Amino acid sequence: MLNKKLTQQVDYILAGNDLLPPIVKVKYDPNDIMLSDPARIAKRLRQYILAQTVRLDMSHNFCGIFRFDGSVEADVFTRIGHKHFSTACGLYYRKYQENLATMEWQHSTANFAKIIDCGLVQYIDEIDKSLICYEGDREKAEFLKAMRTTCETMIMWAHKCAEACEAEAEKSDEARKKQLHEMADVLRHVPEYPARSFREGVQVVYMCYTYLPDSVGLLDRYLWRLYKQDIENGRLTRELAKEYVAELFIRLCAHTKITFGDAQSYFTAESHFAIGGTLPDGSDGYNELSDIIVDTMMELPIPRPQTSLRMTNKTPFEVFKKLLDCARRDKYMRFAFVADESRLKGLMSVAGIAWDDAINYTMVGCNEPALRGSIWFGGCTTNIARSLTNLLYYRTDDICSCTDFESLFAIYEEELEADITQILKYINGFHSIRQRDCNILSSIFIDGCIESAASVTASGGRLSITGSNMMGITCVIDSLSIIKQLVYEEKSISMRELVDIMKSDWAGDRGEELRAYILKKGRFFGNNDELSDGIARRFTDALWRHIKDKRDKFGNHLLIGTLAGYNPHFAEFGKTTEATPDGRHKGDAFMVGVGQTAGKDRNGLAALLKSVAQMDEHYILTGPFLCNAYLDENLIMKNENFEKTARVIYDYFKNGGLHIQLNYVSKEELLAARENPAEHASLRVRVSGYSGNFTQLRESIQDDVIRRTVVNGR
Amino acid sequence: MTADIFDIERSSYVDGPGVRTTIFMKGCNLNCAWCHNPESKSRKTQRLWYSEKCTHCGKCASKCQSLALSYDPAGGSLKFDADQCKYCGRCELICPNNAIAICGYQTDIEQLMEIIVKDCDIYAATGGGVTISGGECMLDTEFITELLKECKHAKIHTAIDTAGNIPFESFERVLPYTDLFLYDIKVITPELHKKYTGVDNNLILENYKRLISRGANIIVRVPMIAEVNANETEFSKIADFLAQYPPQSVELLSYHAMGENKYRAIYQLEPERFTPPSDIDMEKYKNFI
Repeated sequence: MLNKKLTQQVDYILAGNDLLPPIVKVKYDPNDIMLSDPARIAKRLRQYILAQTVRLDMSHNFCGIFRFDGSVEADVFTRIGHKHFSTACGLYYRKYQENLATMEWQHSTANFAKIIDCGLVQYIDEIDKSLICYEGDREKAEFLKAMRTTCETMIMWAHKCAEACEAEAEKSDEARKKQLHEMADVLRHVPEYPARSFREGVQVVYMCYTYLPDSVGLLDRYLWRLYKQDIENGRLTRELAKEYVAELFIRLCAHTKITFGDAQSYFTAESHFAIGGTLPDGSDGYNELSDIIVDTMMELPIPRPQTSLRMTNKTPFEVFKKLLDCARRDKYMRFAFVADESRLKGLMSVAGIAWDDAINYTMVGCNEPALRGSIWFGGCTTNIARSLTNLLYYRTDDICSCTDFESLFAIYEEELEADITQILKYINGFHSIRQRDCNILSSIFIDGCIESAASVTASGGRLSITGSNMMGITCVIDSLSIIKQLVYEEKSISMRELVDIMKSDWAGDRGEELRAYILKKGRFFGNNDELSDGIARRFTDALWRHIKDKRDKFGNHLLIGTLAGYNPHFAEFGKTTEATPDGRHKGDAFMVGVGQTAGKDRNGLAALLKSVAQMDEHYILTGPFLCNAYLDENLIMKNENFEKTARVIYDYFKNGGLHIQLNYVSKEELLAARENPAEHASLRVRVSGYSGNFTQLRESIQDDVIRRTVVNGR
Repeated sequence: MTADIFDIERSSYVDGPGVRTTIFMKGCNLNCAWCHNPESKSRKTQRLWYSEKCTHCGKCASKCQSLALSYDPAGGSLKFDADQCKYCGRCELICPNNAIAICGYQTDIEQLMEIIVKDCDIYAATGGGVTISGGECMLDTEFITELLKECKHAKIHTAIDTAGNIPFESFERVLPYTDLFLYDIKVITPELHKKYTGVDNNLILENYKRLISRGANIIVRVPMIAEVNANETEFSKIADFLAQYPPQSVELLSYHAMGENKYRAIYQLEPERFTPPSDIDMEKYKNFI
């Protein structure tokens, strides 16, 4: 159970209060503009950070949190203060280029393991060594010196927090005095030096999250050594560990408050992380601390953080079942599942990441994978159905002369390759704008930026991956399947006639008739039907062949995802996309992710999951992959059915499934919520990995949620 | 060898242990007033017309090639002559409102097995298998015996969902290949059984006893209907009977009205309406067993 102080914190933030201290505005030296970018940033960061208030009235075991106000280039997640990023956002964020590409946010994860195990002293040491290497390179030296200054600033801030604790202790009763002195001791040691205890480890994450407020990463992995050590030497109990973890989670929740600007929404932080997963020796990483994390989350009535269980081939069924049980009981829907096998293969064989780095990936944001101490340059969302409409509408004569499906698919590949090339231009273009920003603060915690003396925004990190989230993948697979079925197998319509009907957007008797036939008899993806399953494999194979040797301007490999994130890209791209052979009308939204389509999967959950698990032989879709399954709530809520569903999903992961997102509210409930949002304000449903309130979703997302078929028992 | 079926459901949770594939055979020799699959009663292919969905656009009639459907554009009236219908399905495909469904088709062992084996891994993972349901699947003893043999050959757990109104010789034939019977016991009082199902229950109860004595695995399923059996008098008889011949387990299935719209779509008549027992009563009856 939560202790009184933590309950107070929870109540405080749930009432809409900010746990973080009010921002103290800083007046910078107007002449600092004459300094180099790194020098100016470091100077401002120091002034800003040391001016902030140490809030102790709401703290229990930890302190030292604050927010940035945009007056200086701060963390690289929000990119607050990063001017070029703001420009790029204004021009491209949710603004759709050529019906093909739009810019999206990028995720990155600090290497908390290193801060905890090495302390900032080692960072300073590494910076000094790098300075020797770059002697004579003025620009790089400036950058490194700025990093060094900022490391010192962070130590100074911790010491300032310690002083505040000591001052407060003088005014406090004995119990609180003791606690505040302990806090001061901790802060005089970390993050400057390696953490000596579990508590110090948590304090490091608690404080340093401000410097890169994205995923906290693999908590149960990097805190495990200290947890075990303290449990063994009797300094820590399971209950106390829970208390520390709870306070950290409340702080994460408090930091992720969403603020809405005029034109766009800025997220002040993200809080998705992962537990379990593959360890360096290949064993499963779910441990006692993972269990504590899960139990703590279930006791905390707050919507964040969210976690994903990384399933390995050795994850015991009981662990999976426990987490699935949490997922079904949790009204905040904070639990999700991903599988390691396919993802590790994708990270290694497609993205060229080494085993030791691949195994340390975490889940972040809506549902993106991210490597430890790295940035994922996944900031380009694309419309892959454009390659299909180009094929149909601009290569009509070519495809009408195809006598078999093979030759048609060869022409499709030309269009696919052309669009991939174009997508890469956009990726590189967005990179070019964003890299002009210099980031000091977060770069410190991105592995490799010290060695390369380059900002994380310019891919200074040792590891990174670029990617694209593709909208319309199922549309392409289904449409090609329908062409194969109707034109080349059943031979019930000519290619020319099919294109003509689509040009008319299914108008007229013939159009309506054909569309009705397709919707009722089309061999769509998701039915464990070899025709469409085979097309899915061919599509991912083509994608892989045209992507595997491509690099972005920084030399990063590409991994493909299917995630839409917070934005209804699937609807926006759909709006400007012509009718497609899968029965889709011109302007209709694409489905979200890969998985169920409205009414098109007819063979139940197991068949759907089989289609999905077999579709990607080269692991190219191992970026932010999303598979939605909408379950009748009684298949998961009734205990006798729950066990069966758990087995089916467990089996899916064992067979190569990468992700599943279960949505198990009843359709009636969703319809009622749309009609009476006020009465269903707390109804939560997952959209694209995002855990949010149904009634607050944009209408197009609501419609999509409702429209999907419900996998039903008879 | 072919059989008439009206549905195949993969990933079924409710027709026996684990996750199963359920084959719904067409044709039944009972005529239960509350039947939730009224389309299963006749072995013949049927055309279901959901009049409440129909907008009387007449497209179906324009596609009809056998003069079964006639349409009067002036009044928008649609006439259907079942004797003329070839059940080609053109009207179903053209209907923009999904108001028409052709129910029933022929299939063979090979086609069924192709679908069944797709989920072998799921059966293994969940302790599931195949359930042959209906209708009364036992009517087609020859076909299902072959189908069951094939399933056993593929090492798949098999279940038969039956109302039991079949000569015991038929059970003799399927017994070696059937791992589980889902056996319906609806009513004990003979007159009552006759009234609501159209048949006497003597054979049903005798077959049940014989299956028990032969050591068959049986899950008894009782549809619970307030007017018929979910009352003190009748239910205590069911409970007594089952106490005397105890099956592996008993499932009490509360009556539901989800078959009503199908009934209307077949017969264009209002079905008889029954009442499910209250949740409290259901709990009470569960404790009875």
